[in-house]
Amino acid sequence: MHVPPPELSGAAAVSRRVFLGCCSALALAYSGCARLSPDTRSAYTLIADPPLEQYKPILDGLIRSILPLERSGFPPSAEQVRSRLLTLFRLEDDARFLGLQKALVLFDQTDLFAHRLVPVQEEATALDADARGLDIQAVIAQSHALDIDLYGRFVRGQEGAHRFTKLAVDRQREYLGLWRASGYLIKRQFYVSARSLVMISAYSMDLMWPAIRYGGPLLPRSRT
Amino acid sequence: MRLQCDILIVGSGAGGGVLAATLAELTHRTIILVDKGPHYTADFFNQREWDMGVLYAERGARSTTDGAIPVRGGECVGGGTTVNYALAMNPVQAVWTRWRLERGLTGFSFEADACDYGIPGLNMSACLAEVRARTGVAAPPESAINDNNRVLERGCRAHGISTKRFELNMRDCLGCGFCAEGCAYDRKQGTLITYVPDAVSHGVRLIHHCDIHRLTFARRPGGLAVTGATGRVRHTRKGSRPNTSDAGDVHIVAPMVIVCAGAIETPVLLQRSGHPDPDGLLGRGLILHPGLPIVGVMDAPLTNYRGITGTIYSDHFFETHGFYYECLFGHPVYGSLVLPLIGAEHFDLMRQFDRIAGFGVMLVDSPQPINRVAWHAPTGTRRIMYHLSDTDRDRLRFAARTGVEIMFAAGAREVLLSSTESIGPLSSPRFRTPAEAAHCAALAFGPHQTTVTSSHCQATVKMGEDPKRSMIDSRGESHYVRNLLVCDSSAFPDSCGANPMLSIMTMARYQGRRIAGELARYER
Repeated sequence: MHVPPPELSGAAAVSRRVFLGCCSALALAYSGCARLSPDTRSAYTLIADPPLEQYKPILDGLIRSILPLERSGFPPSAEQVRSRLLTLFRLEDDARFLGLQKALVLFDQTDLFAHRLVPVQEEATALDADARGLDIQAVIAQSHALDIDLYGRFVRGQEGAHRFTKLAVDRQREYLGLWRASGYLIKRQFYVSARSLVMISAYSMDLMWPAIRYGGPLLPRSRT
Repeated sequence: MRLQCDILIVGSGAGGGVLAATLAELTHRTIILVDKGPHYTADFFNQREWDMGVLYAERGARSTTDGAIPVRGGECVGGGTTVNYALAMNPVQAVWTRWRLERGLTGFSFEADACDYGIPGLNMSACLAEVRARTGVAAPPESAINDNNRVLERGCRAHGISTKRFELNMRDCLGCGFCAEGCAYDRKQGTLITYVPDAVSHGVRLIHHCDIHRLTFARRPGGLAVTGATGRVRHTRKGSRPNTSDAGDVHIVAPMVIVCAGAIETPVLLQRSGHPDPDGLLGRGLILHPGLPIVGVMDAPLTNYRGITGTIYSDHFFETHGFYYECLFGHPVYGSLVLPLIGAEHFDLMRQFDRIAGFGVMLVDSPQPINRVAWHAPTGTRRIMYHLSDTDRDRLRFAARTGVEIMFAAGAREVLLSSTESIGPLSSPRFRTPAEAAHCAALAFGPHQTTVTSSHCQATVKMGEDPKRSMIDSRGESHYVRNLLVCDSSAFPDSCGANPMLSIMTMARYQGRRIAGELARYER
């Protein structure tokens, strides 16, 4: 079946191609983990092409945690941002976004954060480890230790839900912070990419502009 | 589809556009000029950041392989000159002189009375003067300097740092602030509205939407020679000018090919074509002029996204530390990505969009062979591998610290970096006092930590007379394939030491005039 190319568009800080590669790597990593918890096994079953209804709540959670939708003066609703995101990035129409869908489902399993990731090849490629003479196993071990520490601080005294979608928005932001600070390059990349997709979707909407005192194009609307 | 010409030029930007017009003007050869991107013109540019992503390679999403450094590049007729900020810095003579000494380059004289290669009037100064005249390079009037540029000027002055005014290739700019989205008023004098139309009016055939997949070589007495190229012409995108060729596979037969596809695509095309590379030099030593945005929140509203984006810069630290401060600003999508944090903290910054000032560091990075562009045949993908050297990180830390201090000196009440890392004792990249600028010494600059952008890719198909250290000679001719030339920023041996547009255009004008004066050389 012919799949039309996606509407990839210009974000200075994003490479969706690399982002998707990263997501696939994460999916493979988790699916290949030898010590699968029940939740991980559950995630494993979800690896096969999750439908929109399955990852939409996670997308909504990301949107809610990245944007201050709880603010009364914040212009768009979560639905408007999600609709815009799905228009700009046709997750459902393009096979190349499958990795993103899987990654979202895996991202939802908060207790997986501290599990040892084994996307050695992907991490090594991103780090250019061979050319730089890096000991990739040592790098991975260091990254893993950092993530265990981060996760330990995240859960300390806060045992409870292991789903991103079930967390209060403040906890969701804390959880996102783990990905931001992760020792793994590709997990930090997920944070930057997810943030970018949401920001692009929100701030490319005209309805945001009055709130930030931005005048927009000088050309008449008919032209734009 | 089979086409034939005397000279095939790949790429219509600062290199290819100027070269096509020069060769068309000075020779009677049939020339085909191809560009991978569409032929959009002023009536298409709608001043919307998102929509105009179509002007860029990978719609603006091109990056290093680790995803950490965006590598934006124009992919449309006019190339980078269609989407840049029209910053027209003259070639740095000292750099070209150094290249002559270190790389054995011949020609490229700056003496106004020089006649390089025995060709009357051929020298860099003459070519520069011609390019400047054709593209309307001039300093903007005092009245065109907007508030954001005044911030950099004021902060530098208060900090004892000198500033200069950019020259720009614009005519009667209206100051809409949308240079990077293509000039909707035809005021920016890129090759799109200057040299490419000149070339076409002299009979050059422009084929856009044309992906060149491979150059074709043939074995001749004395070695390999180029014979043309194969590729595919895509269907014309909505909004583009009509093409001069139908969509479909194309084989262009040409006894002379000049590649001007930029420092990312040119080495990849050569690699994909099986160009000899016995010493593994092709694509290596990528320079990209790392950039670092510095943001200030001011007490009062200022004109930032309107007006000419870049009019003030400082080369105060160029000689000692190898970097510039250059004024820059963007629109909300770019702004939302550059500003740090998430949630209410981020939105509270965005709500002050009209009080935000911005300028950037442009680092002249050190050449590192490990930084490279490579065609990865097994996956059919291009890889851009880049890592800041320890020395460059140190220089960026110094530039960040001084930049934060400059922003405070200009009156900012808060200064920010685009970062996700903790900076010393600061849990977020928000500097509340000038003294806190010292914490920049703790910046790690690891991938996906503090945002480092790229400004100008260069030096991936280096010029030089020693084949052990270079891929092409001073004439831009391949050391290995006869009648194959390269004429874009990839030809620079390392950083040209400035915003490169005029350096590339001047080199292209120079090479065009030289080729016209040495045509017999290519007809052997």
